[in-house]
Amino acid sequence: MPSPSLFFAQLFNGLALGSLLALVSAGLTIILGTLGVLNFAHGAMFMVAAYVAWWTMVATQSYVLAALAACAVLVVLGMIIERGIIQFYYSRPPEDQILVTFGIGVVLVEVIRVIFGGISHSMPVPDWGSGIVNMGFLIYPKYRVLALGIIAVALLALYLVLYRTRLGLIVRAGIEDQRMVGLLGINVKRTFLAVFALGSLAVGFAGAVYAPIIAVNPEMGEQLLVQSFVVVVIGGLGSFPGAVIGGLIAGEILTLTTMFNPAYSHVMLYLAMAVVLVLRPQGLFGVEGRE
Amino acid sequence: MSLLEVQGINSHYGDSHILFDVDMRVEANEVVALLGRNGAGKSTTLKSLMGVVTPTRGQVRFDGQDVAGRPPFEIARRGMQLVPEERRIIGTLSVHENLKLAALSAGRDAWSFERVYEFFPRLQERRRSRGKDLSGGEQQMLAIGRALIRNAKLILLDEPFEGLAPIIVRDLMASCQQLAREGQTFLVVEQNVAAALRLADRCYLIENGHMVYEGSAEALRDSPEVMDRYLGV
Ligand SMILES: Nc1ncnc2c1ncn2[C@@H]1O[C@H](COP(=O)(O)OP(=O)(O)OP(=O)(O)O)[C@@H](O)[C@H]1O
Ligand SMILES: [Mg+2]
Repeated sequence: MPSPSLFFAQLFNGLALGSLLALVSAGLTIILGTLGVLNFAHGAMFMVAAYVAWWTMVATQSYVLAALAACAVLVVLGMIIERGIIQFYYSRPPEDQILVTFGIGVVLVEVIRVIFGGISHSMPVPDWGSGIVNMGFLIYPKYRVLALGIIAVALLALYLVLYRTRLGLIVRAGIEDQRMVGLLGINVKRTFLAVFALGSLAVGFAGAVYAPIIAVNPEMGEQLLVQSFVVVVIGGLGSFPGAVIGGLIAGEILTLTTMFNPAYSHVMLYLAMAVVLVLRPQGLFGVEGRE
Repeated sequence: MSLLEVQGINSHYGDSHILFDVDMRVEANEVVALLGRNGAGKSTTLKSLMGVVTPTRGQVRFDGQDVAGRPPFEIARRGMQLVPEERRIIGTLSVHENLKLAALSAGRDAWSFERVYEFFPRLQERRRSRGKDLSGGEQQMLAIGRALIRNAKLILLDEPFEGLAPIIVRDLMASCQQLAREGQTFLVVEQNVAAALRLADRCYLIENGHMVYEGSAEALRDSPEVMDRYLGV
């Protein structure tokens, strides 16, 4: 049996991974729910954000600039991808959408590999985040604790956008019944660019905040992409609360299983997804959509 | 000039031809009923007016402009509002949010939330409830409330009384009659012919996608043989 302190450490690691998954999946799920496109480039976009943050941090020593740069680059990248490519695929079959977003992901990975090489980089932790905190039952790197708080604030901000703004109202309604939103005089297509940019911003911020915690390399987004697909399924397609709760559940399953046997962590995650699909096919917070 | 003038519209679902050269008109402040058997093409007619189904041929002049071929959101902004058969209340949004959504693109002289709540006090009581928790009658009130808050010039009601208890139907009927007295224009499709005739000034009968009769509500009430021929089972 693992010792209590290891257990608590893993619980906390689960929370850290879970909050990351929550933010990344939230971006993925609103894009999927609104645009109807499963964005296979989402993991690669996380990777690009981490590279931008790492590079800016090394160049300027400023964490704030690093985070801002990652967010700005990702919003612009997201807008270019939506206007330049994805908008032409809205009425195409899902296979085409998957292929084209998967292709975008491959291109991003290879471009980064050409520019920065295939090796891993590590982003320095900012001064205010270096050192450790002693929480009594657990000694934990300070930055990881702070990162948890920063992600929580980002999730809160995303919540406010979705639940307190005009755009958020249209997005939530459109995820359930886009045709009715149109019948009420709203041009839903005009929100697609904003939603893709918002999803890109979420994943960009996540990439910047997590860059000091994980190895920055071209493949860093691959596993995360698969894991966030599972989170979206568990939480329910298009559901923001589903992405948050699903992300935390997935984070804990992955890290707690790793404590016993890392080989089984993803198996357990898929098992959890299968159980949810059997008991609640629309996911924990999903609604049965129309059409 | 009529508020709505429809000339020779034809509509298809894929290869199946559903509407054949349908003509109709609706004057401002008028209540018009569109009646017909199951599958006659009533919903398709409403959808073709609203742009949900794009007519393959023909003209839909609404408020002086040809709207055939325009997307639903544009037609809605010009003041036509379909209240669909399935009501399509957004289940995850509250009653108030459903109204807010409808009001987003409404004109300046639209109804206020207070006025809608005054008109349907039940919605006021339920304003925080989620759409999916409403009863059928409450959903229908909200569906009509969404049209009111948009200040629609023409409201298309597709079977508003379907599946509702008689007492609810009576109340909703009274609400619609009051709106009609205040000058609201309706085009209503209803299986409940008696209810439709009580509400309407004028009627159309449609059969297999062809308009087969037009006349005042009284005239139709006094022609049991016409009703029998086109509506009887
Ligand atoms: N989405 C669709 N695809 C193909 N055919 C359809 C579709 N919707 C309706 N139809 C067909 O079009 C015809 C007219 O349907 P419509 O819904 O307009 O009838 P309706 O008069 O409203 O009938 P009801 O009283 O049952 O609502 C029917 O034969 C129906 O089967
Ligand atoms: Mg119908």
